Amino acid sequence: MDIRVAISNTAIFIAVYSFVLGIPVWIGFKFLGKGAWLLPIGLMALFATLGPFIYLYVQKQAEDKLLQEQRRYQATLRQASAGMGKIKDLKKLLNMIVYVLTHAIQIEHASIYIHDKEKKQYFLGAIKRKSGHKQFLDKISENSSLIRYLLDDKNLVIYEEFKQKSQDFKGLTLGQVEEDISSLDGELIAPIFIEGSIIAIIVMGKKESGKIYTQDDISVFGILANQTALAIENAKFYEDMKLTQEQLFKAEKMATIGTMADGLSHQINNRFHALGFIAGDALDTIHLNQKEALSSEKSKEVMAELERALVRVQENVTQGGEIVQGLLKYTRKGETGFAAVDVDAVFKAALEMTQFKIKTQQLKIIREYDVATIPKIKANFTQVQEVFFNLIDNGYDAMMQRKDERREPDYQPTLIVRVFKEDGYVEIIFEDNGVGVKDEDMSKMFTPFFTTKLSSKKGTGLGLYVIRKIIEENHGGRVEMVSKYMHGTQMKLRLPIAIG
Amino acid sequence: MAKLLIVDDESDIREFARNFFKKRKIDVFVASGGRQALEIISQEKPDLVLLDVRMEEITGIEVLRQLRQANLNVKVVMVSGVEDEETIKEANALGVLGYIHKPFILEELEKIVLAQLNS
Ligand SMILES: Nc1ncnc2c1ncn2[C@@H]1O[C@H](COP(=O)(O)OP(=O)(O)OP(=O)(O)O)[C@@H](O)[C@H]1O
Ligand SMILES: [Mg+2]
Repeated sequence: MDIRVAISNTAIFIAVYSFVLGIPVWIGFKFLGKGAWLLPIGLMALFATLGPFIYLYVQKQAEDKLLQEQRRYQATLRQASAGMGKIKDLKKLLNMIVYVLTHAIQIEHASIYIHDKEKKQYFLGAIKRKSGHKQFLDKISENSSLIRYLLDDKNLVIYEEFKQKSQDFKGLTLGQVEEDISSLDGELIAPIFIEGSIIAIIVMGKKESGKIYTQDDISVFGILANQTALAIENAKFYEDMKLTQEQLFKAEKMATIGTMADGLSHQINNRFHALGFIAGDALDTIHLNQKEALSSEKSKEVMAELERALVRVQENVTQGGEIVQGLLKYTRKGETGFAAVDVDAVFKAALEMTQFKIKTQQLKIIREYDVATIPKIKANFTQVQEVFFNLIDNGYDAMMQRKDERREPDYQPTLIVRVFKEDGYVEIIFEDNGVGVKDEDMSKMFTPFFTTKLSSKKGTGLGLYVIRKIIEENHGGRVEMVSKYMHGTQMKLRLPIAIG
Repeated sequence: MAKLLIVDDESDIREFARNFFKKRKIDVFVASGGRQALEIISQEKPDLVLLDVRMEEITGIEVLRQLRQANLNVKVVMVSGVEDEETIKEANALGVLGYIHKPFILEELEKIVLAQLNS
């Protein structure tokens, strides 16, 4: 309790009770004389009953006045701590904590240090300074006296109170701890514990009003500290999730490259093979005609043959280069940003990539859209290219499966791509007439690692999962799959239109 | 004149192999795919077929299977790229003279072809 509140409570108490008890006695003496005490006693009983209520009322009014300011910031802190759990980004969370602290309590500065297990340090995660000019530290060592003290004491430290302690603490020189606190310019130090270890430390500066931190402050920070601990864990968990997700993306990409490797090496090998034949035949021509002097007729013929051979050499070299370029396009990390992207350009790039994995010549590909009128999408080119690649790949597999299983005489595998504007979005539909999906498999489609493709070469089952992540989480779009067994499948994508 | 059929879906291979063997007084036929190859084999009865394993339309192995079904006992040398064990076993079971692995140079091929055509 605040000392001022205690004093005012005592004063109110004295005032109320001298009033309650004084009035009946005064009335008895003045007007009724001795013996006529009935009325005053009755009044006394009445006032004595009313007294506590009056007392409580007046006390509350006074307290409210004094504590109004404190209550206000405590409410802000409570609200803030309730909202913290919703922030997934660690950096943002830390910034919010220090911002709320400095503004709600009106303190000079607040900072938060986060534990880095590997580096054995607490690194400055966020700082907010409103006034005061002192330097801040960017890290605190795990071995500093302050950390060791906090680990043992497990409580908040208020600098003013701490200075009055004189006895040393379990082999730690308190003077050193005090020094640590003052080099942080800290007035209040709050360790954030999770399972016995300190995951973060909040350092708060002096109140701008010059008042000291009270027990009430401390109980509110207790709640705040718990919430902060959970929120930080939460945010860290999301960061780890993001990491495993990236690894999953990478695994999918690597698997695709694995299946492409076969097609790629075949194509590159064929270039070398062709070059060998061209050079071999050209050399043969030279050898056969070396022995005698050539007539001008014959030499023209030989020259034409050699020219033809060299033209073909060039062509094969160009093709070889394109193969390598195609692979690079896929393996390169790609731009990370979002831009206004031309859907048709992405489709072409994806189709180019699929050449290394599948035989697109076996498909009839119909582009049912008008390149001139469809709006650009707000997207990351490389990611959408990967989505299209996977959709073409899935469609191809489904259609080849139908072709092989059914052997329908006039079956023509056909992939139709539609693009149009709808409800302020761009809708992109890939429709195939492949095997489709059995009803019982429909719900598993987007599950990671679900695949119906048995052959060891194909099918990681990550294709659709990654597509959904890219479209829905990264682009704020939607993916929908509509399929009928032995009829075909529609993959519907919805992506935001690029503005401007 | 000895008849040689070259089956490959690469036009450069067909063009330059044909040029090369023409100069050696060999009657060269070319086919760009399995179906065309089967037609030529049944009509021309070549002495030797160079058959690419991996082709767009039907694979070399499939061509070989159909040949054997039709009882066409033509000599076949398979031209293979990056094929796996299984494919090689399958071809052996269907009876082939041998394999040449891509890439190879024309002189090597010449030796094989001449040896087969003269035997
Ligand atoms: N267009 C489609 N038609 C029919 N079935 C499909 C289609 N697209 C996906 N599927 C089904 O969904 C499953 C999962 O697809 P997904 O792309 O996630 O993995 P995958 O294609 O099996 O493997 P990967 O993409 O790694 O090659 C497929 O195995 C297939 O059964
Ligand atoms: Mg797939």
